[in-house]
This record gives sequence, structure tokens and C-alpha cells, in this order.
Amino acid sequence: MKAIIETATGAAINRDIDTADSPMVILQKFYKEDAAAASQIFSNKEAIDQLMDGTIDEAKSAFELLTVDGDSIHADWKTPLCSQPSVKEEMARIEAEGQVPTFVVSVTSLVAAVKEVCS
Amino acid sequence: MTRDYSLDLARIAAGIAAQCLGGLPFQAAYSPDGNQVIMTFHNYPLYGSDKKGDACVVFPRSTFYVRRGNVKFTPLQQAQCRFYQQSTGQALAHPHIFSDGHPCWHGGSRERVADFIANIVETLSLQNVTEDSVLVGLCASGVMGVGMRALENARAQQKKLMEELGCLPLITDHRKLERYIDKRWCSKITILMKAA
Repeated sequence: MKAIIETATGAAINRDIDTADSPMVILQKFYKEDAAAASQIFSNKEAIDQLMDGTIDEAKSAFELLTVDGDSIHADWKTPLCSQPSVKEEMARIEAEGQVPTFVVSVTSLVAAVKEVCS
Repeated sequence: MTRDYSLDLARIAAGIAAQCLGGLPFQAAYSPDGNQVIMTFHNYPLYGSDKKGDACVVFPRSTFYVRRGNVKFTPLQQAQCRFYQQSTGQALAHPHIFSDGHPCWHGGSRERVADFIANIVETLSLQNVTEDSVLVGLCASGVMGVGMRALENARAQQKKLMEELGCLPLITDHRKLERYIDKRWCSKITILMKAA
């Protein structure tokens, strides 16, 4: 399905996503297919490497679906979107409104988080 | 290197406004002297022609900032803000914008972030031109005529903007618009500051 991947600062990228994929897999595919565009959602190179290896700082990273009312729904990183009821229901609502689902995405690396704590 | 949160926050604000206006392409950057932020919205349908161009909002760089990990907003006086179209210096065609680009605001200032962003949306979409605004508040410029003539022309431009831009329907209801913007702002700054 068509979706918009948006950075925290509002840069939007149109993507075709498979709702049978988890957010982690969606972003791995995104980076493999269009590294330049996907790089905008990562805080640094470590975050890219870690995501491609299947790890991220979940406490500091975000994959959130914007609702029709302006709220956002946090998506679990490792569960397929179609298996997350709140996400699935809201996506159906967004489509019924004739809009394209928008996910606000920000990926931060674990290494950066550890460095920050140490400093 | 220290992250420039003032510009990040201005980009978030511009992105929310752009989304309400139907997903207009936008950018936010500092003015050449570095003292102002310039939000630019591209492909904006211009009044009185079939052409599209840029619409800009200019305000002090100190409007958005981060202090001790908290996002701050400095209330904005109408004299500190400018609305332009096509190029800096050319006032946006709007009954409540003076020829130098500064707006005439109800209350004279914008005290909260959601109020400021909603004002940008309502100004660019001309939703804040009403019968009361032109008859009681009067017109700051005669670009669309004055009084009921201004209202009539503004309504035609409103309709054109709503159709051509595909603005979110909620922008016609100020309270719903502010509530929507407030939620989007909170969500975005939470993500930004979590990643900081």
C-alpha cells in the first residue's frame, strides 16, 4: 500500500509498503532500495548499521502512525503492521477518509545512547 | 557539533502548516543576516492569476528554541512577522496584511505555538477573512477591495485554495484546527527530543 514516511522535522518520502512487514523490515527494505532518501530518518551511520542488523534504541526511536485527528499511534518495531490492531484500524480509517497513511519515523542508535549516558 | 534546534523546530512548524494546507512543498531557512527564519511554501496559487508561486512567512529566529532540554516558544507580536508572496518584500495578497507584509492580528500577538501555526494556515488559506474581520476589524490593504467587496474576493480565493491545494477540511473550524496542530506539535517535538 502507499504510505508516507516522514522525518521528525517534516521531510516526507512516498513509499509502497507491505503491511505484512514489521516497521523494522519496512525500514530495512527502504534503506536497501533508496539509501539516500532513507538516510534522512537515521540519527547517524551507527543507527543505519544497527537497524540493518535488527537492533535499534527502541526507547529513543519512533515509528508512529499519524491519526486523522492529529494524534499518533506508536507501532511495535518487530510486529507486522497488520498484526497490530490499533495501527491496522487507524490505517483503515485513514484510507476511508481518502488520505495516505503517514508514519513519522526517527531511528537512533544504541551506541549514541550509551555515549550520551557516559558523557 | 551542537544541533540547531531553532531551525528544526521551525521546520516542524512549517511541516504541520504545510500538511494542513494539503501537503504543500515547504522549506525553512535562516535569512541572509541569520536573524530571521523564512518559511517558504511552494506551488501556492496566487491571487488574481492562474500562476503558482512561493508564499513566505518571516519571523525572528528566537521564536522557537530549546533551553535545558525543554522546547520554548517566544510569543510573537504582529510587527515581528511578515507574510510575502513570490519574493521577499512583496506582501501576500490578503485583506488583513499591510503592504509591507506585516499582518493585522486580532489581539496583536500570537501567544502559543498552536495559535501561531494555526494563524499561518488560516492566513495562507484566507480562512481568517470573515464578515466581522472586514467590517469590524477593517482591511489593512485594498488588494482585494474593502468591506464586503474584500470578503467576496477573499471567499473566491478561499474556494480556489481549498480546491487546488486539497486543504484538510478541519481548517475551516478554528478550534478543531488548533487542537489538531497542538497534538501534531506535541508528537513531533517528543520524537525530536527523544532522539536528541
